Amino acid sequence: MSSETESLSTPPMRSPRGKLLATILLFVLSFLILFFASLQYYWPGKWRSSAEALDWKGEALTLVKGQGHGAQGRLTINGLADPGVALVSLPQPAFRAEDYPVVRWSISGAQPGTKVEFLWRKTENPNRVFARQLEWAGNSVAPLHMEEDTNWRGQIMGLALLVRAPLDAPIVIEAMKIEPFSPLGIVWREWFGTEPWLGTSIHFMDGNEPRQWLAPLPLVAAALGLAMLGYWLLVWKKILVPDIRMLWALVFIAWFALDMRWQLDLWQKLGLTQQRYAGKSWEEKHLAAEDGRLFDLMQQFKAKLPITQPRVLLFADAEYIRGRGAYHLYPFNVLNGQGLFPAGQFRSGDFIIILGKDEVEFDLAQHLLKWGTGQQLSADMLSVVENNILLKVR
Amino acid sequence: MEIPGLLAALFLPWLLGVAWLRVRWLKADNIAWPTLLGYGYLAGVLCTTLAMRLFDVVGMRLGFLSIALALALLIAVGIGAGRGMPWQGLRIGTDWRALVGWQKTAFAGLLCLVAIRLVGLGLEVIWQPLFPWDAWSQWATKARVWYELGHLAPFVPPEIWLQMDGAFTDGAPHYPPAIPLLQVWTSFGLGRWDDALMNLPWLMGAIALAMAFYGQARQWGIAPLFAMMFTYFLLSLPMLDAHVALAGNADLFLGAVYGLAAFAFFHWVRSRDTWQGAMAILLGAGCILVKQPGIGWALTLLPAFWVALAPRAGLIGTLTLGALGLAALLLFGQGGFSLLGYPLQFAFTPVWRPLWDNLAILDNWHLLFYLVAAALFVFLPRLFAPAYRAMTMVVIAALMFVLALFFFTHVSVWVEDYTVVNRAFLHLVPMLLFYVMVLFCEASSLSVVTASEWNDKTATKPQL
Repeated sequence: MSSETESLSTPPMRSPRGKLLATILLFVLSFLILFFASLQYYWPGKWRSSAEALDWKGEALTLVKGQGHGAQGRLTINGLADPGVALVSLPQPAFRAEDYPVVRWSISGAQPGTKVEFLWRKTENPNRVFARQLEWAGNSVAPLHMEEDTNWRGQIMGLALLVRAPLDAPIVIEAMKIEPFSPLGIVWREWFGTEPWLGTSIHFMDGNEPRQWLAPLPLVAAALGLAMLGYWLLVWKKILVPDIRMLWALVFIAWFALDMRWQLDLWQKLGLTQQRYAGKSWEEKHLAAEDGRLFDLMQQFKAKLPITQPRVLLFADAEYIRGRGAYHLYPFNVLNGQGLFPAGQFRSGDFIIILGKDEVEFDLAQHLLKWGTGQQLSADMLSVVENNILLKVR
Repeated sequence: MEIPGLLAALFLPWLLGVAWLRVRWLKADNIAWPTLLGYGYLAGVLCTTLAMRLFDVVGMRLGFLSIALALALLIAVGIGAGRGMPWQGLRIGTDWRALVGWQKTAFAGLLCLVAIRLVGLGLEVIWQPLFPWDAWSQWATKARVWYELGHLAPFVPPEIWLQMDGAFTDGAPHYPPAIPLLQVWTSFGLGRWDDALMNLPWLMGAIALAMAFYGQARQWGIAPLFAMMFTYFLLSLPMLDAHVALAGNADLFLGAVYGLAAFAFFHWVRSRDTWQGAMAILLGAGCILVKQPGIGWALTLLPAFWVALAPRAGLIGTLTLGALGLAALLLFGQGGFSLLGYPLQFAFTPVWRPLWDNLAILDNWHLLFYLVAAALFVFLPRLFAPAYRAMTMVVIAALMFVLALFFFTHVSVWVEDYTVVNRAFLHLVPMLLFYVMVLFCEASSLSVVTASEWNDKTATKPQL
């Protein structure tokens, strides 16, 4: 083997542990230099915030509409008032919206489908109520980031929470917190924020949200470059002996740093997947999925179809709805499309499913499906669920 | 029946591949266990889908027992053809005792990181119902129909579907059947339809890819710790992980099959081992079975074979053909034409920004493309040295294929909305990472044994 290889197996001038420590320190130092330099660049002088968060325990909230009770620091809502809502208000707040861009509700117990909205009013226009819907992340709600919301400006004079039907199980409000502007919070959220698997996840990572700060990859790559430069300087100054393994250790540490962030993200995603799907049959999983109602609807329609493999033609405006709806209909022989074909392309015995298309009408008395410019087809209606219908061509 | 059947569906193809990789005429007597297992699985699943297609051609109904019996028979034939091949001498890829203290710790740590990643991804596969758009619009559609009917009912475009009986349709009726057949076979093993569990082969595919990568790296003579670090790099890539977790698309399998073909080709160039050459050809051709663009990927290996067999003529011929192709494109490509099912038109669309964003800004590939850039820059003068030129040809042909699609075809639209960049790169990333690893290792002398020394089982060398 070459002399270089021999040198790899000879005892190093310093212990491997010492070298590894030096490498880690070099990378950490490089990273911190770039981290704080970029904070200073993006938010000059503002990245250290001294403002304190405003928070309220659940029991301090007032139930204005609906049924419920406060106990042990929490407020439980177990019933809705007419017209199917519950309203909770907060003690009179007084703060400038721009100073507090993060709103965090600690709520538990809600079922998927329950809609909860955060409401606020401002002194400049007290009669107008603004609203943002809370998004469920597993069994809890995701924090609201209001900095991009143009309605979250000026002096805030009222805060509330609105719960809309259906309310299948009691909702428990543990607390509510409004957090001050914090660049470090923004960095934390952008780098470590919880995000479920998205439709785009199979195509790319982290590209859905507009960024206010550096993406992790270029920052870590720059830190790696700086650390390598630092290492070269230390070798040049004869403080360290040249060792190719040190460079590889730096590459590994940089890669590992990025990967630990990704591993945390994967664990968060796995937690959400587990909450939603673990222990369920494949049908129950689809019912619990985002398109659970569509799956349920297709199951209802499938139950009306004969087992003789008829042709099924499914129409809907949204590409996702018609594609996903068709998938739930297989192994039936299904074709999906946006607009209905000319009447001549349908055959007697075909089944037609139309999902929420307003421009199509069905004349119940004459058993006629009408669409487009004078197109019509004689058919029997087999099922109707909301504005979705299943027909059989006569 | 569910669990034993599922295990049989996962492991019978594996056994099939392993048994046939040990047939005498392949002369794979120097193969390491990880390589054998990695290549065995991917070759085995491709053979399983071919067996299912053969059943359908001769009019036999597809079912678990019939396919399992056929696989068992093929395994028995493979074992018979491999009788006399030594098993006890196969290396596991790492001589644990040769690693010094900190290296053992580091190696075990990397192995743990890989294991933790795979466990998490495996749970996602088990829990998550079919999620990716293409998976439910063009792959699992066929799987569901073929599983329920027990034969490969034809899929046709919508306009033909409207005029004929007995055919089905979906988002990509012309796509090859290997991926849905893999899901059908797993469903047969399970004994019921379950669009989460039928995707367990994606987890197995990732494990097989990692094993083959590590095994071939060790077979190259790369030190165990370095080989394991690059195996960890491979399995840590976010896009690769996403394609395991959100299983159901063909891209992971295409990347794995093409990658294994390329690793085998790199080895064959160096050692002319029969089995490495056979794997390069068979898995290279196997890309065609996985996905339509697999034809293009298979073709990217041809110039490299030419260069490996006749270096001077290959280089001149490839350059000449490339120049002629470019000229033809300039002369006749303005009006557009169709190649491999893709409409091509010489209309340059500058998609630099989406490329830059996806390779260097968004964390899709960790630091991979920074490493690739560094490797190509540092080793530029040596890329066409005799030891590397055939390998470099594979990399150039693969990159040219992808970049030509991105910049000169309608694919540019999907590059601009980010929906195709990383999925296309996933096909070549395992090969690219192996190439970069080899370049760095050769240059920094981190390989501890040469191929010929590897073949000499009595050789003992220090290991990093």
